[in-house]
Amino acid sequence: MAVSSRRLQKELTEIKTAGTPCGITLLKADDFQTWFLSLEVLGESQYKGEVFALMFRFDPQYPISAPAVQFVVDDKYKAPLHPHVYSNGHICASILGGEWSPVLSVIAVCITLQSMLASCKEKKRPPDNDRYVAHAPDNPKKTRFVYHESDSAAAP
Amino acid sequence: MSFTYVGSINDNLICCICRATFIDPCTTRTCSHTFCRECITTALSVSPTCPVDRSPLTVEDLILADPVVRNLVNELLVECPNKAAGCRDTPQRQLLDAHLRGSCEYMKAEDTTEDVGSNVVSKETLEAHLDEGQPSAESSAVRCSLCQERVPRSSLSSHIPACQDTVVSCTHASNGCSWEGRRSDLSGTHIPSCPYESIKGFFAIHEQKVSSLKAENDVLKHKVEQLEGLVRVLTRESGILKEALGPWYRAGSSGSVPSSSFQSYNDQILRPNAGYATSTTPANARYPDQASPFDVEYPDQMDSLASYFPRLEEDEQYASPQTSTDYQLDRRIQPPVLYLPRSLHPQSAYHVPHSGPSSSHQPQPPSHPSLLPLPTATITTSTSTSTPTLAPGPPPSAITPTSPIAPLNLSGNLFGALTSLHNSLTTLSSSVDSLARQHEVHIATEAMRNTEELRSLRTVLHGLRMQVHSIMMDRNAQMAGRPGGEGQASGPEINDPRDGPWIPPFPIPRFPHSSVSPGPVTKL
Repeated sequence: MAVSSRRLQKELTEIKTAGTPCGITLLKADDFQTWFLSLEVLGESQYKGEVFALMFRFDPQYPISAPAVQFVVDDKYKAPLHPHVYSNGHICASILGGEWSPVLSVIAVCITLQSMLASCKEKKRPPDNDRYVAHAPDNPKKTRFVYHESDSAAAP
Repeated sequence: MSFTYVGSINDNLICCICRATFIDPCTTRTCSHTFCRECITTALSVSPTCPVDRSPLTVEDLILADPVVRNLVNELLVECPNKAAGCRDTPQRQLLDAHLRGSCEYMKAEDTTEDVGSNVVSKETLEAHLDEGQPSAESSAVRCSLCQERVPRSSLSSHIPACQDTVVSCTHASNGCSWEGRRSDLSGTHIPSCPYESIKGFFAIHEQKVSSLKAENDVLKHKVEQLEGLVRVLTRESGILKEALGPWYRAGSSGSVPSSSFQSYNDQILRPNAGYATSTTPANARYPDQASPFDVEYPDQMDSLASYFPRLEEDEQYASPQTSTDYQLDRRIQPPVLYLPRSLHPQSAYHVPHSGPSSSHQPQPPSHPSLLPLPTATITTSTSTSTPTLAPGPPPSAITPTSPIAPLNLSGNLFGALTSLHNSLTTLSSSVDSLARQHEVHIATEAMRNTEELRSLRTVLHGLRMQVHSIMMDRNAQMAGRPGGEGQASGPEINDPRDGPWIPPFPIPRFPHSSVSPGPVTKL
């Protein structure tokens, strides 16, 4: 078994036994390549009542390498309106890039994104959203995000 | 490399990277986080930061995890991978490969040839498999690498000691035979020709003797140690005893030790109390032939003892050239012979008290003629004290000194010396008692005499007073033309209260105390 498989197996077992945090549910985890989880922001927030879906893509180096995480954009789900979320679902989050640590897990990423949404003051798209989305790669990991506190700029 | 653990694992033993129990755990020196070695090495190759706190980290900062952690992890119980085959053992994780190598009876021979990656058997067990021997077609049988014999795995361990092809050395190797070869050759070819074989009876006897000698040796060694300890104790005790005895200790070598000790402490007598260090050298230098090491102790002892011991009569030859200005004695110290009072020892030899020391001291005024002088034992080793001079300066005629107290004889034994000392003390004390008594007697007689004289004087005085009084009265009467008759006895009191005993007055008729003419009457 590859390292990633063992680790994902463990995470999956843990989710199945211990459950997921509030607002997060496991939608689909049939293999060790792609998982889908749903995300909802609880309490008073800009996104009250909205449900989003996250897609996790793992490579064989997981957890050493970060998973590719993005919001699902299809008929059912939309990307949230957030300064760090592009309209194609790509997320500008430090923990998905340079700040990734093998200690983090799928659940940890979900919680981080949940808090990112919850702390949003203003629903808007990133400033360079249109430009980025036009040239965006399929895998958000290929993007070199430049992380700002309140702002984000993406360089493909 | 995955194990199925028995029971639940403490969360602290789980690596946060692989979420499995630690395998070869390492701890970071900088931030004390523990990971599996493989996990952290891989993580660091991607990003040189600690996965937990993102602090800078390199491979060099990894050290072996605490033995406590390692033991905890190694001793976790795991299920045998051959559980499917039926093995129910749950050995400790660290003992799993040994189990699979040796005691797991469900081991399949095919397992050894399979790849590690696709096998539940751990890497260590695979190596063990390959070391052990070649897999055979039969299940659970291996081939001995030496004799190529097929042996069931379970009895492989018992086969090895008996394998005929094992290289062994001769059974008489302990006696000196240096042959080595296969076990089959040992009994077949070597033993009949081994020269040590034929004399093995001798070897046995010899060995027995040697071992009994060794045992005896041990016992004797033990005894010797005990005796040595005893000797040390005895030496120490005898040293203490020698010190305690002081001048009475006789070194075994010479009988003249006491006299030399006399001489040595005579030196000390004449020298001020300058400390013991200086006292040793002259004594030794003067008598270098005294080889006994215990002589060194004598001067010390002498110094302290000297003040108590009278010297011998031979004072002249012991005179030391050394003097000191602050020393009170004259150069020649005469023997402080004690003279007892005349009443106790009626001998007629008269000894003038030695003038030397007495004159240097302030003599006390003579208290009684019959007291004899007690010349001084004025040997002083301390600056402040000097034995008081008793009763100097007697009238020459009344003195008869007596037999002197025997000087201390150190040539006897300790007991004798002490006895003689005691006798001297007894004599001394009795003489002192008698002296005191005599003194009392003398004082009493003296007092009585004085009293008598006083009485007589008083009587005389009284008579005189009476005469004067009568004369005065007559004169008064004559002067006044006989008015008053005789004797106005008003004036003087007859009984002087200052007189001791009440002396009855001279029989004079008492006259009433009438008015007295004060002028002509004189009061006595």
